[in-house]
Amino acid sequence: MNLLTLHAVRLLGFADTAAVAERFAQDPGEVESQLIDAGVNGLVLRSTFAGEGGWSLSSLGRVENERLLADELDHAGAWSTVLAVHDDFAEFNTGVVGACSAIQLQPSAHSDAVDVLIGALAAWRPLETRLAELLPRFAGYSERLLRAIKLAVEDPAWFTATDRDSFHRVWFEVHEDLIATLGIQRGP
Amino acid sequence: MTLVLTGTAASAGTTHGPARPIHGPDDFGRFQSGDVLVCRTTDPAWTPLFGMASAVITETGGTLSHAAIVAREFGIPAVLGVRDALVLLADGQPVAVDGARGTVTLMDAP
Repeated sequence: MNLLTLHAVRLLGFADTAAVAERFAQDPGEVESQLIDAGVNGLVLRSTFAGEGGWSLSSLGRVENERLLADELDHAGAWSTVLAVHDDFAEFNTGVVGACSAIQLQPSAHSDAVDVLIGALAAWRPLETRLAELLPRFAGYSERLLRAIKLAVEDPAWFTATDRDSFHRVWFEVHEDLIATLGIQRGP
Repeated sequence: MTLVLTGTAASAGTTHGPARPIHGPDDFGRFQSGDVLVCRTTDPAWTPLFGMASAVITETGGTLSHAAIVAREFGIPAVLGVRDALVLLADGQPVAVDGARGTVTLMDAP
């Protein structure tokens, strides 16, 4: 099974074929046939939520995803780097989640919270560079986070909305990518 | 006597509905619109369920968690960090959820 196709489903959580292909700039036709094969093998599930069809990983698919990621990590010799980046990420993740909560709950605290998000982006960027040297698929998060912050200046929904590539949605994806790559459980 | 479970009040609002314990993606197909989502934790794959759920109860996490942020975006009550929720809430058990007080009240079956 193609690592990038399965991993795109893992990161997006629930997505249609076009979005899965776009995540790692793969050919949509090839990705579609890979997803159909993966469905036959019980690795992905096709479901419909609120009228929109899409793919998600089954429990078996999650195991296969983590097996492929572990092979990739071994091959790249990237274990210690990803672990170190994850530990750094976890430290400022608390601040980001707090800032996103403040934006949702206390509109008056917006500017302080935005400063936290900008600081987190600045802290993340060099970590992404370190990761991408060993695992190129990690490239791109910083650009998406920056785009979300820029768009949020005009429309604050870009901070935390779930229906677009908002700051929190991208951040949640980074977190998922790190724990998936390390094969560890999500903490509280 | 009414049994009330407590957790962290993570997203305000009150509602009631049938508890639907979901252990993983293989259970997603059982989830119906208006169900109260009961789970251990969530990741991006769970976000579509928040769009159908009347409320969310998790065993882990608190005010500062991804689940809290996503629940607030959907405007649904969330009580997080409810110990043993998956064990204590049977499938279909009617519950009342108060996301401001952080309580889950087990109601009598209709």
